[in-house]
Amino acid sequence: MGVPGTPRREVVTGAPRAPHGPARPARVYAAEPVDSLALRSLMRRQLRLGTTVFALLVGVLGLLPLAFTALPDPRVRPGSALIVWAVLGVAVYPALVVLGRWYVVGAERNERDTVDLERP
Amino acid sequence: MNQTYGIVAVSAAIVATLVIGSTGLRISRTTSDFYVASRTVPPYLNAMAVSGEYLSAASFLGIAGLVAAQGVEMLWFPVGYAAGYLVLLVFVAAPLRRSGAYTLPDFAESRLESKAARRVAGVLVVGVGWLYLLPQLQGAGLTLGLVTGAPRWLGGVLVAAVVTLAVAAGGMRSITFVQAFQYCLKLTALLVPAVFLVIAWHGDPHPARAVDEPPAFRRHTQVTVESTVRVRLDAPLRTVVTGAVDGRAHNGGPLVLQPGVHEIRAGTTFRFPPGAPVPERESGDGRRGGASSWAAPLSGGKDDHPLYTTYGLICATFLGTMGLPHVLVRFYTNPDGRAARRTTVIVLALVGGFYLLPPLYGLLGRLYAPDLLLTGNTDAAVLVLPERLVGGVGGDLLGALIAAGACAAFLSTASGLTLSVAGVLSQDVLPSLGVRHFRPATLPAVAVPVTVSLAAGNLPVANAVGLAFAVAASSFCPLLVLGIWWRGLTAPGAVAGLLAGGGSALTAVALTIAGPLADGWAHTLLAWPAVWSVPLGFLTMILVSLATRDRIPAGTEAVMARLHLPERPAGRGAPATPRSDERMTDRRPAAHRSRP
Repeated sequence: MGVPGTPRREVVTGAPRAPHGPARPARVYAAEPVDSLALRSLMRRQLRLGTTVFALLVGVLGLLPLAFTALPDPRVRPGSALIVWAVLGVAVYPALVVLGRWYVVGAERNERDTVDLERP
Repeated sequence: MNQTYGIVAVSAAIVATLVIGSTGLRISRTTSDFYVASRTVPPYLNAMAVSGEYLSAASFLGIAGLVAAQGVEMLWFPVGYAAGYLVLLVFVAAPLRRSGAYTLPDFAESRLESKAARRVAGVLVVGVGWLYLLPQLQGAGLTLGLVTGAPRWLGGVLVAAVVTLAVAAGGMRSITFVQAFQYCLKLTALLVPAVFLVIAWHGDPHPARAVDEPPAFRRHTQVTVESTVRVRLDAPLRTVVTGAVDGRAHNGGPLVLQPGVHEIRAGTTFRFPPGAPVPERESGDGRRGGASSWAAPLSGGKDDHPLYTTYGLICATFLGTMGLPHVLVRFYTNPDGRAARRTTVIVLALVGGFYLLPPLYGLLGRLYAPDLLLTGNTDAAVLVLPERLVGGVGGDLLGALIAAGACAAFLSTASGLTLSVAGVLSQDVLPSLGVRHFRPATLPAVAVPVTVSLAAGNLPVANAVGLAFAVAASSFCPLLVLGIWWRGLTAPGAVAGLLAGGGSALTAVALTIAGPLADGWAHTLLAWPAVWSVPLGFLTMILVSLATRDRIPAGTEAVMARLHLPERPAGRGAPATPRSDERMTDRRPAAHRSRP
C-alpha cells in the first residue's frame, strides 16, 4: 500500500477526547478566598443533618436488640420469632436506602444554598 | 457435588477475572489511571464495584452458615455490614472524595500536615488489610477444596496467585470492571438457585416447618464426622454407627444413644433414619452449640453475654466499614463529592438487596442439610443446597453456579485488599517512583497473609474478620470523623488516638485468638472490643488534641473548605472560567494530572 517512505494517510473520525479536559472541572474548588462564615454555617448544617440520620439509625437499630429481649418466648408464641426475621431479614434494608436517599437530598440542598449565597 | 462442573465453573470465574483485568491494562496508562481509574467512573458502575469488592466470602457463604447453625441472631451481621455504609455516607463519603487524597495515609498527611500521622495510618492500613486477607484466603482453600477436591492449601495459593496477577496487571481501572462484574456474578449465583430452591421447597410434599426445633433428618442420611465432636441428646436416638462413640468401637451395628453428652471420634460414620432429630453439637467448654431456641434472638449461640456481643457486633460493623481500606480507596474513583454520595446510596441498595438472600439459604440449609450442623461444616450450606433440594443435572449446574459465585467472592475482596495494601507499601515503604514500583509491591502484599494462613492452619476465620472491623472502627473511624468535622484535631492527637484505639483493639483480639482467657466477662470484652475501644480512640484523639492546641495545622481552614464546599458543577451556574488560584485543585505532579 503506497510508495515506501510515504506515511499512510489516516482519516480520524469520532469524538475528540475533550471530555478529559476543561469540560470536567471536577476538582475546582471555591475560588474566592474562603468565606469562613459561609463555610462554618455549611459545616454546621451538614453535621446536624448527618448526626440526625445517625441518631435515627442508632435510635431504631440500636434499640432493637433490647426490644427483642422483651418479645415473648417463641416457644410459647411462635409469632414473635417471625417478627424478628421480618425486621432483621427484610425490613431493615429498604429503610436504610430511604434514610440514605433522604440524607443525600438534604445534603445537596445545603450545598446549593451555600453556593447560591456565594454567587448572588 | 459434581466435581467436573465445579472445576469448570471455578475456572470460568478465574478466567473471566483475568480477561476483564487484562482488557483494563490497555487503557491504564498514567499513575492516575492506575490507582483511581482517573476518577471517571460513573456512580452506578462504581457502586457495583464497591459492592462487588465488599461482598466477601463471609457474606456469600458465612452468613448462611451462621444463620443455619446459630439462628436469627446472626442476621445482625448482614444488617451491620449494610448499615456501615449509611454511617459512611453521612459522615465521610463526600468530604473524603473532596480531600483529593488517594489513600488513608494520604488523607492523614494532607489533613494534619504530618509525616508521622501518615506512617501510623499506613501501618494500620497494612495491618487491617492483612487481617482481612487472611480469612479470605483460608475460606478460599476451604471452598475450593469442597468444590474441586483440591487440598486446602492449594485453594489459598491459587487465589493469591490470580489476585496478584490481576492487580499487578491492571491496577484500578481493570479492577473496577472486574469488581462490577463480580457483583453481578455473585448476585446471579445466589438469586437464580434461590428461585429454584424455593420452588423445590414449595413442591416438597412434606415441607418442614421452618422454625421447628430441633431440626430433624428428612430421609435416610449418612454423616461422617471429620473431627472429634461432643454432642448432646435430649431423647434416645436410634442410629447405625461405624467408628468410635464414647471410646467404644462400633462396626456398622445399630446403636441407641441415650440422652446426655456423647463424644464422637473423628472419622465416625452415622446412618440416621428419617425423622431422627439432629444431635446438638457442644463446643469444647460445655456451652451449647446453638441448635436450641434457634429462631429466637439472643439465644446465646455465640457467647456468654449475648446482649453485649450483639452490641459489640453492631459497634464494629457500623463504624468499621468506613475504615476498611479497600472500601475507601474506591471512593476516590468518583468524579466528585456529589457522585460519591450517590454511589453510596446505590451501594446501600445493592448490598441490601444481596443480603436478602443468604438468610434464606441459612433457613433452607437447616431444613435440608441438617447433617452440616453435626459436622460443623455449616459454611458449606450454600454450596450443597441445590444438590439436596433440586438434584440431578439441574442441581449440579446450580451448584456449579454457586461455586463460581463463591470464587468471585474470594477474588474480588482479596484483590481489593491487595490493591490497597500494595498501594500503601509502594508509596510509603518502597521508594515511590510511580507505577513501576506498584507491581513489585503486590508480591509482599499477598505473600505475607498467604504465609501466615499456611502456617497458622486453622485460625478461627470469623474472629479475623471481626478483628479487622473492630480495628478499623477504633482507629480510622475517629481519624476520619474528627478529621473531617473538627478543626481542633492535631497530629499528636491523631497519632495517639490511632495507637490507643487501633492498638488496644489489635491487642484484645490477639489475646482472644491466642486464648489465655477461655470464658467469662474478660473473654467477652476482649472478643468484642469495639464497644470500649472505639470510645477510647475518640477520647484519646480529642483529649490529646486539646492538650496540644498549639499544634493545630496552619492550613486547617483551607482544608475544611476543600472538604466541605461543593465542587463547581460542570455546565451549571456560572461558566467554568479558568481560575488563577487552582492551588488546591491537585497536589500531584502536573505530569500525572494532564492527559495527552
